[in-house]
Amino acid sequence: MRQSKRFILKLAAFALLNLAIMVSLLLFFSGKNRDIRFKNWETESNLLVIREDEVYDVAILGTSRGRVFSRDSNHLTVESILQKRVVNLSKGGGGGLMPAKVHLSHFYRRGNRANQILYFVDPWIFFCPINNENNTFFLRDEPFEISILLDLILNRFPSERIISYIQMIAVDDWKSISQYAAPGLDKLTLKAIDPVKLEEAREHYLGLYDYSKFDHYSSFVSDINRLTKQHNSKITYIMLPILMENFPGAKEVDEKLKKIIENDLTSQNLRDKNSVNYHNLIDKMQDRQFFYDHMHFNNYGVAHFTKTYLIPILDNPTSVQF
Amino acid sequence: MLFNSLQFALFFIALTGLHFSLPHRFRWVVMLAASYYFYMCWSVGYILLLVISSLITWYSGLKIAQATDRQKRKFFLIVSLSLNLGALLFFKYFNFFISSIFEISAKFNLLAAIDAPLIKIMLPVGISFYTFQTVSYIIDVYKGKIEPEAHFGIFSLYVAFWPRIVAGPIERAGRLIPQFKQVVSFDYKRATDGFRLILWGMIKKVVIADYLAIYVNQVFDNCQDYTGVPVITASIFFTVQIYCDFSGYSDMAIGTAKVMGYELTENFNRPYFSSSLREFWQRWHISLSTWFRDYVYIPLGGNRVIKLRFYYNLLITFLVSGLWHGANWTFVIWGGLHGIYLVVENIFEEIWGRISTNSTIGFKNLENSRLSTYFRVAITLFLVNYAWIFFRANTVSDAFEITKRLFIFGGKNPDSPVIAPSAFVLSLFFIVSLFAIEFKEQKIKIEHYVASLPITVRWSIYTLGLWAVIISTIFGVKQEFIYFQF
Repeated sequence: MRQSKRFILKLAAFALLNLAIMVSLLLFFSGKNRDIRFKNWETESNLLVIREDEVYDVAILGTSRGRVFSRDSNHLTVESILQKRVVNLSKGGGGGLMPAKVHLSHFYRRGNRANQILYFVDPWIFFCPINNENNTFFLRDEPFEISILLDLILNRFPSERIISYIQMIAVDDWKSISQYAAPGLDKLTLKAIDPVKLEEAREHYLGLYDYSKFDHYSSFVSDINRLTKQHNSKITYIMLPILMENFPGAKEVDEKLKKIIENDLTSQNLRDKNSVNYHNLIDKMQDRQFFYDHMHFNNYGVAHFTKTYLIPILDNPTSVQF
Repeated sequence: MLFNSLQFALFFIALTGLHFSLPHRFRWVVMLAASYYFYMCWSVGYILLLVISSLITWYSGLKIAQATDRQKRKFFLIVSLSLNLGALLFFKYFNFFISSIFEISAKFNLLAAIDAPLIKIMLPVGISFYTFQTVSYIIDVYKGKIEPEAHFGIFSLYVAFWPRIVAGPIERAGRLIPQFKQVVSFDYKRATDGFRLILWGMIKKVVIADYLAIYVNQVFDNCQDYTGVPVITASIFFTVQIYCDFSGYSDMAIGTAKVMGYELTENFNRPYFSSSLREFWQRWHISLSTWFRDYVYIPLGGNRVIKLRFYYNLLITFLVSGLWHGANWTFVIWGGLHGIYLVVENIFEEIWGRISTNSTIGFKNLENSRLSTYFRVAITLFLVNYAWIFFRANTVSDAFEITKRLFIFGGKNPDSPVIAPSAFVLSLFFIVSLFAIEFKEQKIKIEHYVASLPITVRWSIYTLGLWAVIISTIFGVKQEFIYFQF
């Protein structure tokens, strides 16, 4: 008994010593690159864009379909049409509910504010682990911040994600890693829709779907609502147009979102502020000229959508009808 | 569940705590449940195979002991051997044999139009290791060397004991089963020894082996692109990599068992300091080489037969050992090479013995000199190193291509180096450090040496070692344990 006590004490002391070393090292490396600044249209990174104590009119969350609102200088077009200051926290190749919560938390933690949040939700982010905890993209080009690491741990991201994020400590060439901002969207217009390819895309998504995760991922909607309420932002979920009929999971997501929002408005006491809204625009703008593939807007589509839908939504998110 | 994972750390700490807090009579239950859980983390479905194998061997063992007539004893021996070895042959070698038959037949224009009927099946984790344990158990019971184990739970634990289920050491029942029955209490020194061994094993595996693997994989997987120095370097790096990989795993297995009060067989004893091939096989994968000695080589007649038969026995034993490692001709050739080495070594020693006995110019003194020992160590290491090329190469033709390319100097290698110069220097540093430590281990084991140091030095070493492992795990390239595939 005495031997085991002695052993446990020494082991605990050794563990504490190394924990202290670990925390010191992480703190040392955290925020090393905060001074490096990029504009939303210069990089796909969010942390290199998020500043401190800034006030925005609009913050965008989403996947690559939200990211196109900044790519190829679309960001400036959107800001000019809306006449508002916009920050885009979407993530190409990812942007699921779990990553969105991490980025939004960090945005607020840095003392920033946004009057309105637009979350361009896609059906697959409610079903696909690859867009959520298994997403390898959303921290691939982000500098190391200890608060993000804590978010990952608290939100139960898998250890591979946590390790891959710590690996960013060793990355310092943000200039080259942040180059990608998909230029040339103005030249892209979808010529025709190949039904075979469309069917392949549908199969592809269905192959990635894990229906058992639907409720788990949906619960992050309430988390995000709570977060926006705490920081006095209004949030509007928008299902963006897509050139595919009966997209897998779209109906379920539509129903679920309505239900969650209804429930949150009551349980989180949000009704008075009209702070959570939802618009399903999946079957709007079904013209190929707005897209460069079956789901991504080209520059023309971004401008048209902003004018036609975002202006009225931002002006009157609750009662606007399309 | 890898030994170098957070999941394992939690599993191990929880299990150790539970193990020592429970009364002795319940410990086997916890250990067996933990062993099955550990196994199921690798492969859920094949747990049934493990249980069936345990059941058949246990029942056969009891029946052999109960049977009075020889025929009946033999019957149960054959049943157990054929079912256990049959499962191993089926899962590990079925596709290999079938595809080999079809390839050979195709060369003679037979079966050319037919696709080989291969089966899509995953190799059950650890099957080669636990099958050898069941085989040794049943043979030992049959020969009357040990009493059969009456308790099915204890016997199942012997087969599935988690620290060694995936990649050994291959334990003998006579050594391990009594330990499960012995009442052990927590021992401070044993636990710290165990943790030191775990840390040393992790350093060997995660820091050294996995780092060297980057260079090795690049060259061996693209052997047609490299000649001369990069190929020689890769072959030397692989020699160190496989040692650190496997002995690192063994150290972790032995260390974890030690913390909980169980002593596993030492599997490696500084094998690259061997001065002969025979000595190498007494120091490399000891639990496997002694198994082959006891259950293949000696039953074949060992060395107590005429010379030619003795050489034949050596060759057969090593060919089977090669095949045990993997269902690929590269392993068979690797085993065959070692068999040939040993035959030649025996012939050479005989000739040398005659010369030195009859000589008057002091051959005996030369033989016993330090210089001669160094020379023999170098020759042994060179031969072992060459044989590893066959072990690592993806195909037999790759192995011969690499052999050819070892001697091509000035050939055109890719413009970019295999790894950055700084990484290359770090690799060399790891290798030199390892050999220096092992050289020192001639006199005292590294874990005992560290234990003798003042606490501040000791803890600094532990901390440095731990951080080397953490940093390598996070920033390095994760590699599977090489022996897991067997």
